[in-house]
Amino acid sequence: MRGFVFTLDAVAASAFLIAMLSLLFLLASIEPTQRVEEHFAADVLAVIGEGELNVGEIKQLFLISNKCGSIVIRNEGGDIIEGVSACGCQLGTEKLAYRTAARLREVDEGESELELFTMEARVCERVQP
Amino acid sequence: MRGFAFTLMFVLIASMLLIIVMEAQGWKEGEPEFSSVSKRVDIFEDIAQDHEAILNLSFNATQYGWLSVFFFNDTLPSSIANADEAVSNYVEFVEGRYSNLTNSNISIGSMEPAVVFTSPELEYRYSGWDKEAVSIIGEGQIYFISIRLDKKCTKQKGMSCVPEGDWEWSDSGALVYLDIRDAEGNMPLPGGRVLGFVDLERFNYFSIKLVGRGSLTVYSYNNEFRVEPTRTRASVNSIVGIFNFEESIKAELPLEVAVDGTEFENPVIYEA
Repeated sequence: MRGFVFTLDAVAASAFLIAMLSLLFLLASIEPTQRVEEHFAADVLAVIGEGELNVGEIKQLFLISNKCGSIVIRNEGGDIIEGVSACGCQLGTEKLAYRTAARLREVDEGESELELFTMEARVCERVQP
Repeated sequence: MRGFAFTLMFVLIASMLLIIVMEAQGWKEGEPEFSSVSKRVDIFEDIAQDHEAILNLSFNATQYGWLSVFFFNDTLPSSIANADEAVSNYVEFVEGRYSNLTNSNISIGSMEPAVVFTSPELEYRYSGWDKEAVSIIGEGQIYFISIRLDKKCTKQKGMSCVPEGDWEWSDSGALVYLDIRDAEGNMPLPGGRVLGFVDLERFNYFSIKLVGRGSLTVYSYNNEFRVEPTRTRASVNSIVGIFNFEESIKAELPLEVAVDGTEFENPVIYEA
């Protein structure tokens, strides 16, 4: 009888330990909420693709997703040639994503040159005032 | 004594559980996180999209019962000045600046100027990024090739667009229609006509001379149909029909990219 009680106590204590450990691992494995912004930044660039920036559409994308941020296109030299900002982000809260864009630009009749760009999306959560 | 036994059993069971949990964590260590995998795929898709943009080829495909029909609208040579150099610059840009920006190790293994259909098998392959010649490789049953040249043919004995070479129409083989016109609308007649059957196993070729040392050469051999304009711009519209009993069409780009050690290849760009 005593042995049975000891075993029961030990099993109960171990079960408590398992529960605590499981909770710990569960908490550790939960994806941080900031990942949502990372995915959004990558997705918004994928939606734009190689196209031109449409200010209205981009602002709407940010608005309906309850996000703030900006998208800029830089040329090969790194200079900004186009940009759209939906609303501001606090310093350090932004998540970034990049894409390349190779475009053919007609320079003469039947002649074009290959222009290389990088598109950069900065996204953060929209904080209600 | 009871307390000792209780503590010993508890410690034993708890240690065993801890070891199991730590082992389980160890299995996961070698696997990249989901976000990391997703980022690598994004980078690969991005490069594939650029590959398609640089290729600048408009194509489509439709399935009619057992017949797959492919449509290609193209202009040769490439409108990009020094296209081979431009593509080298692109590769350098991706492996350098883009790698740094994304904090990834990107390496482009190969990037070929072609579209490869895997079902049914057909390749639309250029001689290089300069697109100075194009080959349609596959076991096609129907070829309708329409070529418009921006230069006029030279006159030989008062005749325009006289084809030189050895083009022989046969009684069976692939059905071929060659609708070729120079800048003035003159039409060459290889082998005396423009429509008929061609034995694609035989080496058939013809060439027409254009003003300003330009020329157009067309040949077919070993299931390859090649169009090669020299010193002239040619608008090439091709329709190719192939029997396909699988009733599905899939096209890929010949592209190999490694991102942070993960190797990706041949992105699918068309499925119907």
